[in-house]
Amino acid sequence: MINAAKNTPGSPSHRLAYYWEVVQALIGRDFAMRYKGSTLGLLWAVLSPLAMAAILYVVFTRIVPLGIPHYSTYVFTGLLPWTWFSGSVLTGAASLLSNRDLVRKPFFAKPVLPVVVVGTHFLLYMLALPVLFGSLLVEGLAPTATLLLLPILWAVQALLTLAVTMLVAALSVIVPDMRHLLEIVLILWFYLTPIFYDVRLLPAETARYFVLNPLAVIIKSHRDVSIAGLAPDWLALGITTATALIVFVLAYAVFRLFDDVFVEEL
Amino acid sequence: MSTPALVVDNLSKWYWLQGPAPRTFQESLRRLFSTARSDQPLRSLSKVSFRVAPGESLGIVGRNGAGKSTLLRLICGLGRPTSGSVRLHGRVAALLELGAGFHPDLTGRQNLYVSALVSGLRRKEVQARFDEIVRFAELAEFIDQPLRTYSAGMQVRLGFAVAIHVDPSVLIVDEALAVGDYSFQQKCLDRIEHFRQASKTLLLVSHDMSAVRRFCDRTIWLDHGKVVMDGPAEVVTRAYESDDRTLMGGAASPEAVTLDELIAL
Repeated sequence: MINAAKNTPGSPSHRLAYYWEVVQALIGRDFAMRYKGSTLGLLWAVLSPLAMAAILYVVFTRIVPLGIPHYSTYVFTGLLPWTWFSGSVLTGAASLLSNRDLVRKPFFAKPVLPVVVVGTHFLLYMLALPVLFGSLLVEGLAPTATLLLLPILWAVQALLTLAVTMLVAALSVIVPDMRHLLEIVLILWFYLTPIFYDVRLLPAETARYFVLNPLAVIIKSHRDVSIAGLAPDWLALGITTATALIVFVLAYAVFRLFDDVFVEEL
Repeated sequence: MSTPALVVDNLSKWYWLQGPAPRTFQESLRRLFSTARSDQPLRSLSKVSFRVAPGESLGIVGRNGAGKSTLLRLICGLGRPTSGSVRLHGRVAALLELGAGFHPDLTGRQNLYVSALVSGLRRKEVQARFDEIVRFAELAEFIDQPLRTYSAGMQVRLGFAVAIHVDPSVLIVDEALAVGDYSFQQKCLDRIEHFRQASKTLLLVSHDMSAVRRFCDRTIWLDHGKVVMDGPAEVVTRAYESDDRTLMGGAASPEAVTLDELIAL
């Protein structure tokens, strides 16, 4: 109903270029705040996934050996995409609430906020990626040409992550305990995703349900292209993309429905 | 006739006031399943309509709680009208609340950059105008300090400097200027005068009737969410002032009765 005068007139491509600048500036600001007052700063982008992977490595090769070959690469290919996803969703849940200053700016395009969160966490993922390549080399896995397919996997995951982030950001406005619920859901999701284990270790009747988990499909694709040197399962990836698209459309609608409620609650 | 800069059409905004927070889990459950909202909505704005032509400057006056800020917020797209609509043409810059749009933990420099960008400037434009904005705000020495160390006056200076340099065709100012010191206020007023002479549109909410008379051609007087008067600034501000005086004198105006009743309670 309200015709919010767009403050940047011009063609759609012009407007897109403008929003791209806004997103970049806000990602820069996210990084500035994230590592403010930290000694190691940006190094944490590498150190935290490395530490997490080291823990999983020790537990599942020494304490409860799972017998998965190239286990350090195996864990990284699961953990890095997972961290991108769960980090975005958890931070994104608060994205409307923690950016009061922007939300209260006239005509601020609020859907920019989840995009910024997913973008920030993607950059953190990229910063940690050299560790994966290091691990490939250490474990004597020659980098294969299929690694060039990674950007496709990133695109699918970006869409999925953005969709879920947008949904939880909007729901957090009306469900006060969203963050607490989300922490539990994400722990469950972590265990239901083959990050440190292999679906092939499970009984077949359990294993077949994993195609329902879009992240399981994405992580398996990562392993196909990085470790096995194979193309991903295009059918499964296609279904995952379609799922992500549906969730995205739904999430956008919900976001648009509730993003104003918050402005009024101030 | 040219397209109006602003059309406000039958705009209403109701708020449902929240009761006290639920004290127990059971209470919050009960509230979750009860459909009853608090019985009486607060009618913050009721069927407000007006148009502003490009180049016109409109003052909005009224007592606290008359709906002035609600009106400005809706014009700026903050919140959704209960009914009615707002249409704006052109780039809008608004100074609504003190410090709104600034992040306390970021430096003045970072805040200025993000704020100007979000207000509609492209990156190159922000870079080109950066020094000029800092100079206008008189914050050169403090620009790399976090915003939480800024005084209220400094925040307003930065906010106004950004707003005026966004080069808007519609400028909306909500009495925030009162916080700045005298010399800065004068500087802002000069800038607003300038802005007006360039045939841009101004919306000014103020309790300072002389400022309204100085800057506005036309004024709207809001009371209890309704437009009680809409006309030349001189006429409306005088009427508002005399009404204010009668109120203080305790004459039998409807508001005075309400107030007396309140006191009697």
